[in-house]
Amino acid sequence: MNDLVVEIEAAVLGTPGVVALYRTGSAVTNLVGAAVERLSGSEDAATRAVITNTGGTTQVEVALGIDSQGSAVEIAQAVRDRVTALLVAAGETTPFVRLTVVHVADGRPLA
Amino acid sequence: MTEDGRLPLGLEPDDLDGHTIEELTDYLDAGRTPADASIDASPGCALALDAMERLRALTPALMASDEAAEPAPEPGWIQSILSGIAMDARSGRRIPLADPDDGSDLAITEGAVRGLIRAAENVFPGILIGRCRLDGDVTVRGAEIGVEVDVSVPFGEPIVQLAERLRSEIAVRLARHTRLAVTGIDITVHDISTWTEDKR
Repeated sequence: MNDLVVEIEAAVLGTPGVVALYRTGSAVTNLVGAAVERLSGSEDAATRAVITNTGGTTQVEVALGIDSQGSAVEIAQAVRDRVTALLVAAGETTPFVRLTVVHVADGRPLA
Repeated sequence: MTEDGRLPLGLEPDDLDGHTIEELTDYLDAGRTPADASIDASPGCALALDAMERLRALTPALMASDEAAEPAPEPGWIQSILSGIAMDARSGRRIPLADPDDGSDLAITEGAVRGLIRAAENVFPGILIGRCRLDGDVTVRGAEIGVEVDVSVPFGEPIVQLAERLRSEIAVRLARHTRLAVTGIDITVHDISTWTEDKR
């Protein structure tokens, strides 16, 4: 499963417009994740995409940072399509992607 | 940390995934190097760092104002900016980007949208955005939403035109990044400043 997480994270970060991947989940989960990363001193210690399997449905949860020059809607849809394709290729028959844009990196005018 | 367990600026410890404002300040001082994976992975920290950088851009202007004995902005306005930082660091409500279907649920956080609106000030030198609110049930796709922002504008600029340009910039940002049904963007000018001139 960990290989799949790594593949998913690479696919997400490779999507045009995505500039960062953040921890997902509750504040408590994030506190634990942050502690693991600090204790281990490794950037790879905690993966940021989360895969769960409930009742035969495999759910992937990701939290994105995107560039303001793209469209959050289009970027989110592109990420969803990539992740879904990976899950289907991995043999998942009923994949579900829960994606949240949590930060928009800015700087340039849009109007 | 205050007596009631809150971080300065009204932040809750959970807002920054266990980090503190002091840690983020040190991180900014060091130019975000070496990279701290724990901070970089936290959406709350990302939003707070954005806001702190905006505050840092403002600080030299405030100091220059003090040195020149210019009228300083009212404490209430400064508090509004500080409160904005606290609010920006909170993810807030989850705003749908599309109708949920059997295979996905796509959304953007209210904190990310507020940051997007607030960053519109970067386009207009001298403008500072304080409070920023989304009024309405943003969690329901298609619900009517009003946007309210408080701003400080630079002395000497035509306020009506400046407000109209800011409103257009915010509208473009919201249209590009959300599917919110925005019914209005209300801009309230709270301050006309001379102390922001060196921000231009």
